[in-house]
Amino acid sequence: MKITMTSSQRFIHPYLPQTETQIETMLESIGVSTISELFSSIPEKLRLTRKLNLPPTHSEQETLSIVKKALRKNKTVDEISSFLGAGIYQHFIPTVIQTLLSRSEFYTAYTPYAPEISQGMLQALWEYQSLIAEITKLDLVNSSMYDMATALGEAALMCTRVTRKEIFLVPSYLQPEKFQTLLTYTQGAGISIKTYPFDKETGKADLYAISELTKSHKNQISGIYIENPNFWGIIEEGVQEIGKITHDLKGIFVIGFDPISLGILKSPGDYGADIAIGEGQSIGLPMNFGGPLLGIFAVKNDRKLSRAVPGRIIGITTEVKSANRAFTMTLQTREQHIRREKATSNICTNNALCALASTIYLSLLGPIGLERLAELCMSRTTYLLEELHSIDGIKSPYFSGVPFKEFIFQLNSKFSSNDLEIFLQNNNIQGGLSLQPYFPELKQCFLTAVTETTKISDIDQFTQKIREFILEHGG
Amino acid sequence: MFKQTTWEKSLIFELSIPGRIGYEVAELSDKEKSLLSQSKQRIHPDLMRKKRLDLPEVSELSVVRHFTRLSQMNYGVDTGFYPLGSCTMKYNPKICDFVTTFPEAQNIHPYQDPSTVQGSLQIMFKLAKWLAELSGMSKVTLQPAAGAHGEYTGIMIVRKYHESQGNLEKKTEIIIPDSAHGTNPATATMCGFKTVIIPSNEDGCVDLEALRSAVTDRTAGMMLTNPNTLGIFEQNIEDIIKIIHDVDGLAYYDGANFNAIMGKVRPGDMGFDIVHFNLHKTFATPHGGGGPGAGPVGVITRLEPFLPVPTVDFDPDTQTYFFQYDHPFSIGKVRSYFGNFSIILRAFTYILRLGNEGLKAVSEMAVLNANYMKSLCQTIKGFSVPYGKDSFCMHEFVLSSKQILRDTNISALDISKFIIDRGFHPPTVYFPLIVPEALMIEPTETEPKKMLDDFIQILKDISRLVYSDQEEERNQILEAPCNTSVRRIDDVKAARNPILSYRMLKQQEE
Repeated sequence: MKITMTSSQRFIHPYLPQTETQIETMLESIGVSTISELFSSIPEKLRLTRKLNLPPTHSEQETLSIVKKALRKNKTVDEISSFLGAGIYQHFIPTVIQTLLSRSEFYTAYTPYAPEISQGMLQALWEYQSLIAEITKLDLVNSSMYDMATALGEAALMCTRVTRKEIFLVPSYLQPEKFQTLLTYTQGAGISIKTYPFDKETGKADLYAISELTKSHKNQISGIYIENPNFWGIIEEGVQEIGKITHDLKGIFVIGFDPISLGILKSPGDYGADIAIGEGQSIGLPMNFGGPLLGIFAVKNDRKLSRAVPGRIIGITTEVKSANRAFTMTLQTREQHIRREKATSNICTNNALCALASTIYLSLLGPIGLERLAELCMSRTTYLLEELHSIDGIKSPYFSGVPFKEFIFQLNSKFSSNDLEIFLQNNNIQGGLSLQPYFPELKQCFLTAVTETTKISDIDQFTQKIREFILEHGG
Repeated sequence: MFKQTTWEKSLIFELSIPGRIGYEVAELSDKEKSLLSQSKQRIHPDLMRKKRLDLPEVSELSVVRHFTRLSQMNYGVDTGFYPLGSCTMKYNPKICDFVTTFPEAQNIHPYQDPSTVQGSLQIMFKLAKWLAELSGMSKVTLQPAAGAHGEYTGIMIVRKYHESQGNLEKKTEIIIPDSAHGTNPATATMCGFKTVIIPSNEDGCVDLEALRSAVTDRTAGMMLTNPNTLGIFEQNIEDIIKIIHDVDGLAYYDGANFNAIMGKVRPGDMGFDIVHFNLHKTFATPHGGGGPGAGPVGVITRLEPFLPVPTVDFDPDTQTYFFQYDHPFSIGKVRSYFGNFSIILRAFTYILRLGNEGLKAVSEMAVLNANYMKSLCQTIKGFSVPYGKDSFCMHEFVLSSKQILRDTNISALDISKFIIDRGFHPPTVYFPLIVPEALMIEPTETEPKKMLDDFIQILKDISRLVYSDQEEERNQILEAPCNTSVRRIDDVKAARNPILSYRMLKQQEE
């Protein structure tokens, strides 16, 4: 059949099934003779008459080659020895996950508004909530948010919604992306974000500063946020104490966590968290250049809190006429489609498929797998830290606190950190995130991450190259 | 005949047997063990986990089988017709998914040096350009993660704009029609605005007089979907926008219904200042059972300084793509990193595949399919189209079964359950709120005529059954669904006694 591009009534494409005869029958049934008549409600002067400046139609083969050609300009972390982390981590993803995620009954479905026909996704999301409840030791989990940064924004809004107080306390040493998102999210509600500093020696939260801050804003604090491990990768030891300070103020205690760390560290619920948020990318999702991610949002099961939670929640129930198990979206009166301007959030589309990936991941690993994974990350991180420690010209670790899967090292001021970055890049190594642009006081400092995908030989080569750099630059 | 697979609803936790693993994490070497204990010794024992987590212990096959069975108890576009109004559940081309599995797409860290991610940046740059061209905007950000997130970004831009004019204290209200999506008013609240709802006129469109009396110096802007949620094009759009602009308000275009207008008319030409797109609707990226999607936002030239940072730009001198942070009045960031890249890549691939002519044909066929269905559905006894009965709809229309409710006490919900029994996903019910017993139908351009005819036949069957004098026939509707993996669900029980996790279930059982 000849493909003509002049009349779109006759534009033939695999995604557009109506044949010319069918189109004619349909037009007849409507009572018009052309498709353009159907657009007659658009005022004539607004109708497009020119051709838009868009690419032409491409065959599947052509499309594939264009996309491949563009993507080939990327260099993947498989080709670079990468020690980048700072919020997104390279962990191994078991093959089973991609296989199951490509079941199109899951991924071509909409939000399960019609529960009887959507039990599969509903149950999977309920199991997601259950697995996250298990690792956080908090009973109530929503069925996902966009990422950890927006989860933090929503947590801050929730604290004010519940307490009606307007100061939210966070570490000054948050991931910059997260901090900027928090600032945006809290503007509309008029929430004031105040920061507490870290101890310059240990890299941990400065407890004294926190208690001073809380004294000067006694009845205004809606909640306190702490991350464990924190942005420097360090395990915070004062979590319990900060929780106590928060609760004494009748504020809400929010903990940010790395799901993998919970294999060996206590859970947010064990520390008295009211809300726990996390980034689920590390449990089963590719890095994807930073998205889609998975915002984890867990809450203590408390009547007041549960009504203020943002996002979708799945509940277990039964059929109307039997005791057979069934799943459905519940507590919907908090949500935008019912409560409109009084909703707890505007979120509608979330990251359900990402939550499914994490559900499969946690099911595969189980308790032993998660524990061992956490141990592997921590031991190899210690290895890199020690190896760098042995190099003159490098301060490793920069902070004395104990790291989990990343830490900071500093290059002696007689070298240029810019030169080091270029040197490493030329040797196909991405040695970590340079912190100075975001935190000027951390001169020549790099945040470097190690996971189970980092081989001992990668670490040896990394430290070897740093030695060479220092030698070459007159160390 | 449709019959959904039914498996026993065992929870993954109930399949657990201690000692089983589904994936083996490498054991630590002796050296690693000693490094670990060296670190552990420095942490207060109070911080360490004492008892292993209560996660399920299942084999790899158990996991595969469990989730495969769950998928069989789910219904997607690949399974069948999904005329869920306002959601644009069109076919999701497989090539678009395929390209996202390439390592060059997946295995990229967002903090890699820009010189190593030129491919991703090129794709983002081009997609943003194409979306700008399609909508008549001057610049597009790809950062927002979903439609509502795009709305949030857009209304924060409205906020920042008025702030930059020194008017934020005065500009406190956002005008929203009563037919709008719930996300609109919820977004206005999140951005710190008060929502002013205006009623629709008898045609289902914005009532110009109501709008004039609602607009004041306090009006910061208006959020509007065009075609609106009834599937009707707002013909007075230029007047509407002029009323908003006259008080220095900004006009926000909710792009949920963009599938109706590609290549036909542009929000920019209508006078809108800000537009969001749902890549998971118009640009065929799968909805993922609830997400992830992507909600890019376009703005006119004057509002470019307010866009979230960074956007992607191209330097013709060095022929390289780079992150542009120079947006002096930027609202900041609305999420981490740059956007949902794997969704962006799918939309990029989709646009290449359809091209200029193809996208126009998409909107034309979507509108043709909707009008065809409307013309036939509204003649079925008991059903009516309360708004726009005698005019053409755009890509969707809203049917009402209020006559059926009045005559037979059978509700739109009952009808939707019967539709399921015949193997179709039901339409959106009870939305928009201004239509009683609403059934909102959006066939999309990818469904063949046969499918549309089959669906129309079901409505005819329903009409026959509800008006039947035999109780058995009526009961077929009232007892539906019975071909699904579960029958009608007790939502009230779910809300009255929330059991939201296995932990809560165990607590209840104890």
